Amino acid sequence: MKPISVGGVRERHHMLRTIRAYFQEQDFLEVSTPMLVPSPGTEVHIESPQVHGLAAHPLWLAPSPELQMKQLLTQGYERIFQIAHAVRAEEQGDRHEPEFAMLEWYRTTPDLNTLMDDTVELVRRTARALTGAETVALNGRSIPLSGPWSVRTIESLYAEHGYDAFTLAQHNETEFFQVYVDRIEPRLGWGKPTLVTEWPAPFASMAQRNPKNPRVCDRFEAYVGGIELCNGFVELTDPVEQEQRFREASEKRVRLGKSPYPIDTQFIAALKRGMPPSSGNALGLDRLLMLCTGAPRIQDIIAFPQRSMAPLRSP
Amino acid sequence: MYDTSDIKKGLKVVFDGAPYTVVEFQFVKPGKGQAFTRTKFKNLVTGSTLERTFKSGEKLAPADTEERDMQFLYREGDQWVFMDVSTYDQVLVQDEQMDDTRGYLVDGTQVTVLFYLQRPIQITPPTFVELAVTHTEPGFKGDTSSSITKPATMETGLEVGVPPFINIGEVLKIDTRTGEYVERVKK
Repeated sequence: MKPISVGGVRERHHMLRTIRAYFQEQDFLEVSTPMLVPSPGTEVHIESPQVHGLAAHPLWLAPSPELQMKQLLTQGYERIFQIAHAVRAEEQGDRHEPEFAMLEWYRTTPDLNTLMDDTVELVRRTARALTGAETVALNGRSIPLSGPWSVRTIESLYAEHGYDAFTLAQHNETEFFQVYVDRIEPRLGWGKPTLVTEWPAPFASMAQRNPKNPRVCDRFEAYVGGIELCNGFVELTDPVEQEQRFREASEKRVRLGKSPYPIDTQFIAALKRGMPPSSGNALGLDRLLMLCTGAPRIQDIIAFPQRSMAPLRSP
Repeated sequence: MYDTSDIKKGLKVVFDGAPYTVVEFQFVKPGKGQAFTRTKFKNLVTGSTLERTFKSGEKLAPADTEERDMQFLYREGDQWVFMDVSTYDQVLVQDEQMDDTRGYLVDGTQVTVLFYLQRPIQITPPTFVELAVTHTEPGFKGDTSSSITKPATMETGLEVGVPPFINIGEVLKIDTRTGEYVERVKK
């Protein structure tokens, strides 16, 4: 493994060039959406800082460009990608920075397989650009990226540890995630990268439920060496169900003692005008760079990492 | 009470009535899931380790511990006698509790003693100590290479790898974190 340039500046340049070249080949439009948004969305477990002093109406730093990029899809753009900065509060560690780089792309084809193919190709090409081979090394172990990646359902991963994923998802969310971070995630993607599919419907986020099996949603995550790289969905386009999910997530935030976020009415209005069937993926670029450089900490490949932040405490 | 945002290396907490210190921790959070802090602890009394994953915001009970600067006075049979340098109180520590620390202490050495529920549970020597060599084989003449070491026994019984030019009676600076030779002390 080559030594990493200070802050990973050179490696990042090569990664971004590789990504842009891929999307150019695929006839994508590179777009740019605001960091300041009227609502950060309503993910139950994503904390967003509000920005004061800019406008009379409330503004937040976007935790992802998702809501705005989907509005572009409703305006007729068919294949779009963005290399965005995203901000999430209370997330800092060896794999988390409060401000991070996110690659997000959408196609107006409601197909998870195409998204997975994009993901595999982007990771392979980036590794080739940075390491000269379709291989990454982590903790002294070499992980081949060529050859077919492993595909695992959530149900089968939990069954290995004697759990029924659907029962846990329904009745004990904390245990669901505790089992995930303790026993499942650290082992994912070591022999070869792993795509984790068929997430239980309660964790659909903004993915559509599978039309044939409504217990699961059309969502996948990719793992290499225990590192989560992305979250991809076949997108929920139904405004009624979307508004309902926002409302439920808000109520859940309140139950957990967190402050609720407003529902993004511009986004719901755009869905009502009609969003084409689509799929989209969000991939953490700093983590991809970690993998392809062998950096043990995300801060090693960020030119200006934040100093250790004391987490915000909910009032 | 502490919560997960207080977790850092060296934090001392109680589990099941036993005191532990944090040796490693990692923030973990699935993109769409709850945040946790994966934490590795060491039992302050037995030295055994324990891994726990805490949900963000979960509470941890602080261990009732206190660190005091003390001086090692002397050893009497199975007991090591320490004195608090500010109150002159004396404390007895059983030999089996001394672990590796016993190899670093000579009469008068300043140490930090960790008390849990008023009882001494851990003796921390200074980072560097100076100890005299009581036995070592003669080195090869003229061999100044520092990459080769030979065994030497210190006045405390501690065995240290030292450069070939070291002789009996010389005083050496030892790093107590690694147990390694640092340099010869000119006296």
